[in-house]
Amino acid sequence: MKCWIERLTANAGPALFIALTVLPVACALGYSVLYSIELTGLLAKGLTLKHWQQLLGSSEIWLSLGYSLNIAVATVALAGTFALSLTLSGHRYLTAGYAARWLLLPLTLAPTAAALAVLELWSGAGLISRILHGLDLINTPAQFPSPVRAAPGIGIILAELLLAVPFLSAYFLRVFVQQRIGALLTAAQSLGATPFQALVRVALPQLLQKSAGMLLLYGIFVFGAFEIPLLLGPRNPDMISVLVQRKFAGFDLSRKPEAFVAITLYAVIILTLLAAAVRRSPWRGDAR
Amino acid sequence: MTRLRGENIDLAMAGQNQLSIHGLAKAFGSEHLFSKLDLDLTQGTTLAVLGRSGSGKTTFLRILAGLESADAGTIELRGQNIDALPPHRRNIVYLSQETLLFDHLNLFDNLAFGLRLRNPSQTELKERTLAMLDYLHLGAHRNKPVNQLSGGQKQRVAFGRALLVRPEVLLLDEPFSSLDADIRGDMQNLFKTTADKFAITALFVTHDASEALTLGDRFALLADGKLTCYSDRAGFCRDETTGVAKNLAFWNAILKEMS
Repeated sequence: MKCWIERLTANAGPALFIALTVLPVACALGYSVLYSIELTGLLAKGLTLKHWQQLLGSSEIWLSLGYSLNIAVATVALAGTFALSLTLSGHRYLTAGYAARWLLLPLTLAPTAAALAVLELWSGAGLISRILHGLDLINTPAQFPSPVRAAPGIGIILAELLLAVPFLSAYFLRVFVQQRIGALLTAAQSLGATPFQALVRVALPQLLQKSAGMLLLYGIFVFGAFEIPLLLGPRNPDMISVLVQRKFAGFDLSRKPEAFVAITLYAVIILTLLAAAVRRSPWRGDAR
Repeated sequence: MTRLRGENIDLAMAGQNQLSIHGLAKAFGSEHLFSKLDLDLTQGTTLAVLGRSGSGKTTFLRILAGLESADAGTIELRGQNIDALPPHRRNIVYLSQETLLFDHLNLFDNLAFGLRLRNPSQTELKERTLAMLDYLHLGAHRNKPVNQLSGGQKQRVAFGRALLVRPEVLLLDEPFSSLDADIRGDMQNLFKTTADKFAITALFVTHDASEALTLGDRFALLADGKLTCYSDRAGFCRDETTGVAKNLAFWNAILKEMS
C-alpha cells in the first residue's frame, strides 16, 4: 500500500505535466491535422491533401505569417527598446518605494481595451484627428493619415506597445534588481568604465541575456495575438489568428479545413522557435 | 620594475603614490557615520582598517573610490585633489565582498575588462591577460563562463581584474569574508605575496583582527566615527579598543589549559 502511494506521488508531477500541457496540445494538433486532411469534420470525405495544396499554394498564408512575424518583431523591438531605456535611466527611482508598483497599473488594461483606446485616439474620426481639424491643421477629419487598419499595422503596434512596455519594463527592473546590475555598474566604473561604457558593456548585455527567453515568449504572444489585430488590423494581409478565424467562421464551409492547415503551420513554427530557444536557454536545467 | 612571469605584465606603479585624506566626514541624516578622518598612505603600503559592522568601513571606501560623496573633507592622490573626479577617472579600484564578475563574459574577458577600456594593442591585451591568468593559476579555465567557477576562483578573477589595470590604490572591502577558511587563507596569502612583490598601495577593511594582522603593514581602527592610526603592530595589538589583546588573552588561556 505504502509502496503504491509512494509510486503515485513520485509520478504525479510528470503525469500532471503530461495531462495539462503535452496531452491537450498533442490532441489539438492531432485533431487539427486530421481536420486539415478531411479525416474528421462535418464535411469530411476521406483523406485528401487539397486544402494543404490550396493554402500553401496561395500567397495569403505566407503574407499572413510574414505580416504577423513583422508585427511581432517590431513590437518586441520597440517595446524592448522603450522598456530598456526606462529601466536603465530610471532604475533608481523605479526600484524605490511605490514607483515600480505604479508601473504595473497599465497591465490592468485588457487587449481589447488597448485596441479601443487606440481606435478612439488614432482612427479617422478619433480624438487626434478632431483636434487637428479643430486647430485647422487639416481641412477634414478624413485627411488625417490614420494608422488604424492601415497596411503597415502601426495601429496594432501602438496598441501592443501599450501592453508590452509596462510589462517588459517591470520584467527588466526585476532582472536589474535580481542580477545586482547596479552593483555590477559600479564595479565596471571602478575599473575605469565611463557611465555610458558601463551601460553598454555591462548592463545592456546582462539584461538582454537574462531576458532573451521572455522577449521570445512575448514575441510569440504577439505573433498569435487576436483581439488587437481584429479591431485595428487591415483586411489584407491579416495576422495569422485573424486569418484562421476568418477561414473557420466564413460562409464557405468547404474552406474550413484551411483554417486547420493554418493552425497546424502556426503550431509547427512556434514549436520550432521554442525548440531552438530551449536548446540555448537555462530552462534546460543545467547549472547556469 | 617588477614584472610577472613572461615579462608581460608590469604591475609596479611608477612615481610616488600617496593617498592623503583630510577631514573626511559623512552623515546619513542626523546620524554622523564619521567625521574628521585624516590619513596618509605611502606607496606600497597596505593599511588594514579594523572596524565592526556598521562602523562606516564600506562607506569610507566607496567615498575614496568616488562611488559616494563625502559631506566634507578632501582626498588627494599623489598630491592631486581628486574630490571632483568621477570613479572611472580616479584609477582607484574598489573590490567588494561580492566578486561582481560579469557573467555574460568568459573568464578571459572578465579579467581583461578594465584593461580593454584603456585601449591597449591586441597583443598587449592578450599577453598581459594571459600572464595574469597564469599568475592566478587559472590558465586552464580561460574560456569558461565565470558562473562555472568556484568561490575562490571567482575571487581570484576579481582580484586579477583589479590588478591588471594597475590601480594607484586598491580598496578591499572584506573581499574574502564569504570564503571557506582554507580558501580564505589561500587568498590572503595570494594578496599578501602580490602586494609585497608589486608594491601595491592598498586599503583593506575587515572586521576580523587576525585578518588585519595578517595582511596589513600598517593598522587603523574605525570606531565611533573616528579613525585611529597606529604606528606599529605592537601598538595596534596593545590598544584595548581594537579587541586584539582580548582575543590574544583568550587564545593564550586556551593554550595554557591544553598544555
